[in-house]
Parts: sequence; structure tokens; C-alpha cells
Amino acid sequence: MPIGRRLCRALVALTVLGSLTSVSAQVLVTALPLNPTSLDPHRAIEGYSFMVTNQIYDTLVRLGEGGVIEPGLAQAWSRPEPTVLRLELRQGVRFHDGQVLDAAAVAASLQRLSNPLLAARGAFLLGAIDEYRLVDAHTLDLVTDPPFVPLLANLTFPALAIVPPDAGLDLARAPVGTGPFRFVRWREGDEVELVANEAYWGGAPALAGVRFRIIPDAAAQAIAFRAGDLDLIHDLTPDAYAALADRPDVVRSSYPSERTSYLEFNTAHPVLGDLRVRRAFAHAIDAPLLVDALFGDLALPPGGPLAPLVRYALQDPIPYPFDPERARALLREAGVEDLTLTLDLGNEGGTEELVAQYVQAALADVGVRLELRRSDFAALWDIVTSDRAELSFSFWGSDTLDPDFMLGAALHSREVGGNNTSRYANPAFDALLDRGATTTEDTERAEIYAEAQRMVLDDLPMLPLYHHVGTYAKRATLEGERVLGSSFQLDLRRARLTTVAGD
Amino acid sequence: MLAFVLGRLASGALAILAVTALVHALVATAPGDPLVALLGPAVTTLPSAERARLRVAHGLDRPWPEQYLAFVVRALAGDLGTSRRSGRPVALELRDRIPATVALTLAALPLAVVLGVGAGVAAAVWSRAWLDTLVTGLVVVASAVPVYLSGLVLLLVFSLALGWLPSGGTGGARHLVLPAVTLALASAAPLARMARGSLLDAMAEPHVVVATAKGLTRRAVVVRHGLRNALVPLVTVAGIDLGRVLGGAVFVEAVFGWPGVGRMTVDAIVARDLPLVQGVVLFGAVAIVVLNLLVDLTYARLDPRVRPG
Repeated sequence: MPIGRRLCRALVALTVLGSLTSVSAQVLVTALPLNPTSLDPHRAIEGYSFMVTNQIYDTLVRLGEGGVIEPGLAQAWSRPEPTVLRLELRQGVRFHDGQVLDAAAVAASLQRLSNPLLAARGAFLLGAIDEYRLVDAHTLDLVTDPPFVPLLANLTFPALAIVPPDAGLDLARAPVGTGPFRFVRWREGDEVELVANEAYWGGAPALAGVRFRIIPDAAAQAIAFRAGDLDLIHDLTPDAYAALADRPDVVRSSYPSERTSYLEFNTAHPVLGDLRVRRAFAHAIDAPLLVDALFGDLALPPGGPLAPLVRYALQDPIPYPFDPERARALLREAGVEDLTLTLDLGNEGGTEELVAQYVQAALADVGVRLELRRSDFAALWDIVTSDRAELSFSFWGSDTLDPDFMLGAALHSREVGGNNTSRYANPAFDALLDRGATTTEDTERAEIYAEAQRMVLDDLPMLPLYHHVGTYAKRATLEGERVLGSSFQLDLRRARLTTVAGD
Repeated sequence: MLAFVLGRLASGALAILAVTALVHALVATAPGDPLVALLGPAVTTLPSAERARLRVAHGLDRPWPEQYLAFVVRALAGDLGTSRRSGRPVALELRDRIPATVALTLAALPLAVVLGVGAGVAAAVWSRAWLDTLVTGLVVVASAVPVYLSGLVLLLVFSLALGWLPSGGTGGARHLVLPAVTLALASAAPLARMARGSLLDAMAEPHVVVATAKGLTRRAVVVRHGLRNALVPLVTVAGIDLGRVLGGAVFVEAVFGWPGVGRMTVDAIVARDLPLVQGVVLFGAVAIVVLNLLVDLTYARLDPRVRPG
């Protein structure tokens, strides 16, 4: 081969190599464990749908680090009077189909949630609103009488994302939002594909797009990740998390979650209605040991009823140290002998099953026999809302990071017969929550909710067992992603893959 | 012959009716509120009037036999109803998912037959030799290992360690290899056992002994006299195997992220999404009835004694 031609080839090869090492926008590939139910945020009924809708739509405000509320489609907010939450919307924002976002569109979107046809999951979060008042084209007043302070935090909830004013039922399969990524296609059971919205109001995302591959099996997800077919996997079990240690190409992350798992008592039960019995159970269970043995660093020992991440959450350890002697004494004092109870839990196995078995063993040690009964969610709900309920294993997520979200829905006496399956009814506690919801002053709210949490720990309608820690693993080349409180709150606006093309 | 086919079709229709009725009864009478199963914890936030309205919208306010009758009447008119979970027509949900399951089954079933019958015949021909021991051992292993596990092992070896095949999803024939092989391995095991047993039985028949005594080659004896007689029970097992293959597809699809009806069915059952469950059951029942009819017709080709009319 003549030297000239060789040189020529070498030059071409070098040019090609050069182009291969230049960084170009990449598509992020991640996994979903199920086919989303709906990509209409108002109709989605399970969290993983929100992982996708959060990329396509925006909420009015969003959660930031430490639970601080950050601007979203609303760039500023104020309370001109206690009953009015005034939202100043960003100008120049358009939906992916070109429609303009203004105050009327936002009001229409929020009002859409009350459309009974949608059976919208988030509708209750707006229940306090009495009036939507358009101040001008980009200013909207939400009027609540009496004042309802958690409303602003509620607006961070993904199920309240803003949809176009003409959105119909077909939005579920053809989603249109204002978010950083636009919908491309959804191959049912296979994949959802999104592409960067170059006109995004917050600046075009660095990623070229996102693909959500639907891989129901967690072990198969882990294999696909290790094989390099996925850039990011979420919600790893402690074992799967440990298995990815010491890999230079992988970065593992854990973050405090907004979820708390607890043992719920039916306080209307003849035996469990006795506070001494509930306190005996609290002393019989060694929660720090349980966390250490089953989760290691991937759960936090219990403090109060709210996860530490939640605003105003108590940060101290639970005031019931492990003390089986004390537990036995309390049971004797309550006149309890030869007690057999049923602990109801879900039928999905996993860690929950192990926790239930630990609780069973711990209570056996103080002379209480527990029978475990596993049911699917509908059957479980049937039991915990009926007179058959004794003890149940449950968790609650404070999705908006406002204490009212969980305490109000699960423990306020107005929810007895609904979500309040412990049947806890304490007028003093109710009064605290009612005050907390109407108090605008931050330090005062903090005091109110601290007192409310201490009251829950005193009365023990539920015994916190552990606070969840979320996990994910990513390629070392992925940067700028943010996950706050739960994997559904995946923020990819600033995410970038520095993988070289052709790698 | 026509009367036979019509008769089998009529009994098949009855079987489908019975299966769908049974499934309807099981799902509808399972403990718990179907609305809670459908909407999860969200249902608790709905006002009771709203709950009542949703109950009417999903036909849950009527007793289940009445719901079932309504389903049959609509299905006969070609309307499978709307999925409670996604709000989409069931026909559309099935249209999106059935092709993937059919492709998987069509790839797995012939592979299972070739692998299973081949291994079984080899074991019978060299019976009590090392090959027989090997095949019998493999059959025991393949029968004992759940497809879920064998799928993961195949993924670990061929996708992760060797990098030869994709780790799941769709996108071409390469994506189909691992799920199809996983499914085929599980179905091949009973076929191999059956092939070995029935060929050994057939080879002991007097007419086969005579054929051997006549001086026919071993190959001619096995293929023409032994295998032909061994095929009748084998075809039956292969027909029944379709049910097993469809059942195994649920797990295989979950492991490989294969977008067929399998995983959708599990989700539909958990959500008590009866219209969708019934749609899938109808699809499975029709497939099995048609395939069993084909099996019966194949019998007639193989064995003149069972040839109808």
C-alpha cells in the first residue's frame, strides 16, 4: 500500500476516533417494574406511573432539598390574606402541543381533578379550595376558608401536575405537558420513550431523551443493569444493593425516604384498647436491632410517626427502649395472660415478611402469640376496616413532606371509618391538627406538629418500626440526577450522561 | 369427519363457557372490595357517593352471575368491554399484547418438541447407556427448576457473562432467543420423558420384534415401527403442553420484560380487572380448544383406528 494512502487512512481513522470521543447528548435508559396504568397524572393510580409523568408534566411548585418548596410553574407565591394562596405563574410557558399556560389553564387543570370520570387520586388534596380566582392572565388565587396552609405543599404532589385545558380521557395514552421531556411512544408492556423538550422553560435538558424499559422482575433488572443495558435502577433490595458494591463503573446512592413502616393497633379492640398493652408491645420490640439485622444502613431506626425527612418531624429515638421485663410487667398490670392475636400483612413477601416474623418472635418472648395472616391489598383493607382487625403491618408515605399529609389522613378522628384504621380518636390531637392546618407562622406550626407527634407516641395508636431509605444504582457516567424522598420523584432536568459516543 | 369437527367445536364452546364462568366466579367472590383492589389506598379518599358511582360504572353494583351474563352477551356481539384499570377497550389491550405471547409460544413449542422428542428418542434407542442416564438426569433437573430460575441463569450466562444476547425487551429475533429457550426447556422435559417411555413400550411390541427379526435396519425399525406407534401419546402430551407453555409464559415474560399477556394478566388479577382477566382467559381457552382439535385431527392421521367416521 502506498505510503500516501496509508497516511490518508490513518487520518480518517483518527478523525473517526476524534468524533467518537466527543460528548453528545445521550438517551438515559432506566427500568419500570410495571406497565404504567396511565400517563395522565390525574388518573395514575400507582407511583411508578408518576416516575414517567414527572418528566412530561410540571407541578406548580416542587420539593427541593430538605423539603424546601421550590418554584415550578408558579415562580412565586404569597398569602395576601390567610385564606388566599396567590400563585404567580411563569410567563411564556407552553404545553408540548403549543398551547399557552396561563392562569385560566392552571385553574382548569386543578378543577379537572374533581371530574368524577377521572376518579382522580389527588382530588382530596384540593378539597379545601372554595374558589379559583383569576387575578390576571398569570396570577391565580386559591381561596380556602378557613385557611389551609398545607395547600402549597400539596401542590407538589405529582398527581396535581398541570395538564392542558382541553385534556380529555385520551391524555392517558397521549400525554401532553409542559415538562422537560416530550412523549414519543409507549409500547405497552415494553417501553415508554420520551425525547428532550428543547423549548423547556427551565432550559433544554442535557439528555437527548429517556427510555423507561418495563422489566417486572427485580433480579432481571439487576442483570440488565450489570450488562450495561440500563443506566439507572431504583428501589434495590438490601441484597441487590450490596451486590453492586466495589464496581468502579457503578455509583450506588441511598437517600432518606418519606415512608415509615409501623405496626397498627386497632384501638377499639378489647385488649389492644388498653394503652398498657400497646406500650408493652413497644418495649418488647427491639427496633434498632431489627433495622440493623434486616436493613443495615438501608433503613433508619424509628423516631416519631413521621420519617425524619418530613417537615417538623421529631428527630429523637422512639421513647420506648427495648425492655422485655418492662413489657411483661405492663402486660401483667393490664391483666393480660395467654394472649393470641392476628397480625395482618400484605402477601408480597420480601422484607415485610421478615419484619413480621421478627415481631412475632419478639412478642412470643413476652408471652404474646401472633398469627400472621397474609392477604392481597383489597382483602387486607377489608380486614383492617372491619371488627376482625387486631394488629396490622402498614406503611405511610408523606409524599408532600408536610406533616398534615400523613397525620391528618391516617390519625384524625374524622377519618375513622376511612383511612384511620387504628380508630384513634383524641379530640386534643384533632384540635392540634386543625390548628396546624390553619397556622401560617412557621415556628408555631413546628411546635404544634411536634406536640401532635409526641401525643401519637404517648397514645400509640401505631408503633413506628422503621423509616425507609430509598436506593438507586447508576452508571458512573450519569451525573446531575436528583431523587427526593421516593424513586417516583426522579428529577432528570439537569441529568447528563458523559458516556462517549460509540462506547 | 365434518360431524366430528363440529362436535368437538361445540364441546370446546361449552368448555370455554365453563372456564370463563369459573374464572368470573373466582375473581368476583374473592375477599375484599374490587374497587379497593382497583384503586388501591386512593379509594379511601373518595366520598361515598363517588364510590357508589364508580361501582355502577364498573357494573359492580349487580350480583356476579348477572355481571357474567352481561359479559357473555357482549362477548357474543364481539365486545369484550373496557379494562377497569386502564380504561382502554379490552380488545385493544389484547391486540397490543397477544402478538408477543404468540411469537414466544410459536418459537418455544417447536423447540420444545424437537429438544424433548429428540432427547427422549435418543435415550430410548440407547437405553441404559450413558446417554440415557444423561438425558434422564437432565429431564429431572429441567422439571425441577422453575422457569423463573432457569431464565435468570440463562440471562446471567448468555447476556451478562458472554454478552451474546440482549438482557431482555424486544427488538428482533435475538431478543426472542433466551425467552423462547427458557420456555422450551421447561416444556421439553415432560416430552422427553414421554418420548422415552412410549418408544421403549413400542419397541417391545411383538410386531417390532418381528420387524427386527426380518432383518430390517435398526433405523427403519425405530422410525417406521417404533416411533410411529409412540407418536400418539406424544402428540397428546404436546397438546396439553400448550397450556403449560402459556402458564410458563407468565414468568418468562416477567423475567425477560417480554411484553405479552402474561404479566398483564397477573396485574389484572391483582387489580380484579375482570373484563381484562376474562379477555385473556378467553384467548387462552380458545387457543387450547383449537389446538386440542388439531391434536385430535393429527391422531386420525397417525392412527387409523381412531379415525372418526
